[in-house]
Amino acid sequence: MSFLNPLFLIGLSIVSIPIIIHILSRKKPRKIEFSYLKFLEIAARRAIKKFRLRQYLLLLIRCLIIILISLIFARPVIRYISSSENIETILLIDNSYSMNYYKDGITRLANAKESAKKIITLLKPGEKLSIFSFSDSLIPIVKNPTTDRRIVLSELENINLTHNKTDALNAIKESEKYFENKNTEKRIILFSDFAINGWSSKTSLANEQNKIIGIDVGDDNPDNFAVSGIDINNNSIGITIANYAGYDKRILASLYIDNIKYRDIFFNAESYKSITQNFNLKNISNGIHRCFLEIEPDKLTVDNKNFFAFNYQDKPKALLIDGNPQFSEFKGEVYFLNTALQNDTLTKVINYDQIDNESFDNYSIIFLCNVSELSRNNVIRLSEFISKNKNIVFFPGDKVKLDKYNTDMSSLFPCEFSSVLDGGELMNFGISDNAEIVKKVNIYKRFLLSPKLNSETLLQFSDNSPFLMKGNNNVYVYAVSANLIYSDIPVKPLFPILIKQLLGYFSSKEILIKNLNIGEKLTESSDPNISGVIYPDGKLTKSSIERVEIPGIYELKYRNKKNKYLNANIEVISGESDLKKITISELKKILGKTSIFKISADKYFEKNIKKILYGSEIYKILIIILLLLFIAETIIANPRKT
Amino acid sequence: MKQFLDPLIIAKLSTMYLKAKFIVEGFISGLHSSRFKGHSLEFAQHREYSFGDELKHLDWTVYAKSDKYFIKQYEEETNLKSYIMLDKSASMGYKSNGISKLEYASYIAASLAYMMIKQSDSVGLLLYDSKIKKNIPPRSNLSHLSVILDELSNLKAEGQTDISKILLEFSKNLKKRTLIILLSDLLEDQENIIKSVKNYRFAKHEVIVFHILDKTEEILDISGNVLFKEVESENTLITEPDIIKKEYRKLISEFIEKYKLEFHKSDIDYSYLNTSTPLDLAITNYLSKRENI
Repeated sequence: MSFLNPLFLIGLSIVSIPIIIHILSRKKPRKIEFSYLKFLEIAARRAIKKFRLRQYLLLLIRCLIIILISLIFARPVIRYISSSENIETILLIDNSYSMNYYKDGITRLANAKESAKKIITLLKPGEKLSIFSFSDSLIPIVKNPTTDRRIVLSELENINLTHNKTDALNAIKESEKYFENKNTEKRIILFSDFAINGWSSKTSLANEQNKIIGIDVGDDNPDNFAVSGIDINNNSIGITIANYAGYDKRILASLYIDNIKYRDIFFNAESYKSITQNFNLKNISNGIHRCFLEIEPDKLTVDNKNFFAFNYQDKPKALLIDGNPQFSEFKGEVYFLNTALQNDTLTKVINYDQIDNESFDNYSIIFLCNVSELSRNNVIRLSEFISKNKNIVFFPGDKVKLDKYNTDMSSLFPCEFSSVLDGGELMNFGISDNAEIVKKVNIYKRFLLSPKLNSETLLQFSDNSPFLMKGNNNVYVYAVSANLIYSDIPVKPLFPILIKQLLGYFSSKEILIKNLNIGEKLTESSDPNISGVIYPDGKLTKSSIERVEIPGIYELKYRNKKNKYLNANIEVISGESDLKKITISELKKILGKTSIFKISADKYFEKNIKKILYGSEIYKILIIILLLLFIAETIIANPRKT
Repeated sequence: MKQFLDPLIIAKLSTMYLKAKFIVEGFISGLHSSRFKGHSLEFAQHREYSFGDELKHLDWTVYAKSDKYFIKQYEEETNLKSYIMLDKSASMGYKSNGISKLEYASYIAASLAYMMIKQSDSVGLLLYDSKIKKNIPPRSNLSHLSVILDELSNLKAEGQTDISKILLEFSKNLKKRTLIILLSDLLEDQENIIKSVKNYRFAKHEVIVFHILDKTEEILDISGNVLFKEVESENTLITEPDIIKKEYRKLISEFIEKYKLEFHKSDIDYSYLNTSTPLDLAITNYLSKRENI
């Protein structure tokens, strides 16, 4: 507190007057003879305490009246922050994506800028200013403190919205480094919507002496709806919509594939809850599609859209060739295999005799099960097949002619078939969750496979001999048959797992799609094989990028491999879309010893900020208190006569 | 007639006899005609005239019919023995203005003595403070009245009070059933006084208590910073009556109420009077009691 007319404080010295009057007013008692003192004594004992209390209260009120009169003339001013002439001020303006929230036709950022302009004009002309914008990081706008208001106001206009989340504590901590002088008083004026997510980081402030003035451009009851996640599994898509409003809402979402609306979906989203719906995509061509999901417009539109590249693939067609067909289908070579493949592939079973009549072009996988030998022509046909980046899988059996496999057909195989061994035990080949399943299989017989150069052993027996081998020509060879002659694997739970794993090897050659949050650093950025990047707007650059700033689908072009797709979206899951405001008590708890004064950027903003910056005279309050004291004095000094 | 029973007016009369006569006659003239007679001069029977009987009691109607002298006999002739016990301690001398409690009490005593002797009741007077200062035994002749009135005329309030002790001490002297009329400010240990007075009731005596206080003692109508000095001791107290007035009045009120309640329980007549109360109240109370004896 300070005083505009401190000379009047001399008046405080006359506070002694009522005390003197009080002392002098004690009259000398007159003597009266009385019959009986007992009742007088008891009454005096009981009543005098109240009386004295009243007298002291009266004295106190009279002293206070004199103090108040002196203070009123001295014109006291309450200062919320120091009024030192030597102040450095930093303006921090939140430009995270939640500041794009519209209210009364303007965004929160625009409101923040307007408020900042008002403050800049209210500051003393000689006061140095610097400006920074912040979201998850601090960006200098006017880094060096200046008194030139023209520059500051002009640069203020250049602050644009980002698609990043907020980290206000980091911004405060980082901005403190830009204060120039040690001996100045430091003040940070922070413009933000004070959404609770922006204050959730664990950053601790370096300097607790700084004063923060918070300008709140947020709303007390904001409502927002957002696409909080897209999950793709094969040809199935899972969409999650979040309701950040205080009421339930039926939200319309539209899925666009290659800029054409694919379908509309309604979500009945409960207040402050998320809802997920899954569905399968159908009737679209195989290959990469650029998609986005968009919900109906709300006050914050930036989180209404989610972009994703989608590699649609029909189920692969597999040809199963039974080299030893049996009358009982169950005893055949491909019965169990066909069953295991049903969910993930479109299969066709033929006998080896029919192979010449079957065109391989219709298939992407061929399974050869206990085929005794292949004709030269078919070896050539299969070689052509794999040259098209397609896959062949061999399951051997007791009909296999090893000499043929190791000579005429050897060009196809990644291994030689050495001999048939009895028994065996599988090694736990990376199926850690199913260790027990692996142990429970019985191997009766197996082929000893001798790997060739450039081949790869994918799965092993416990004696390190190969169980599954892969050649660099996409030919896969198992050491056991696909029926129950060599092992009981086809009737054990392990079998579908092995087949899934096998199909996984095929798809590993697929195009890679990666999800990325806006602002996240790209791990591939330093890869020398990247020849360029295609941006969401279709523009091609010849250099790589370090981080993405705009939501959309980015395509990384590689010199030596297929392109990679980046689904870049804002990080809704971080909580930035939840616009619920932090309370002042929570804020003070987070800031610890750093003091903060928060005011709203409402119609009283100018009046309030003046109070904060330059204090407020309190004589009106003092006059009211004075009047109340006068009334109290009158009442106490003239108790009701009884 | 009420004005003639105003203590201040009574005080202006010269002798105690006149005061007593004035009060009693004033009281009687204010009553309906037969009350006084009805209670104390009720006709009982005739007896033959004998020498020395007052001629005014001759029944001339009987004489006219029978030519014999018969005297009317009245109820009051069954003599009542009464004792007026008057507290003359220093505290009874207190007066704020007008008359002191002692003067007021003496007027009541004189009036009652006058009335009782006029009704041929025998009445005695006991004056006391912490000791019995004067004991005039009960008699019913007219010359005895002047003895009592003379004593009442020369009263001076002095000495400390010890009513309970006096009451206990005096009760030993009473053999026959007696009407005790106690006149005092009763400003002592309340429990002891109540206990002592009740003793008389246990001994089958009748008791009337006239509790007399000054108006100021009742309402403490004093202002300013005051040093109070107790008249019966050297005790003093400095206080402001304005501050303690409310509490004091409450205490006095409780004090009086307690006497009223306790005496009522033991069938003891209790009258609270202050020195500005008209004196007829005392006589009314007496007559009411006398009727029931």
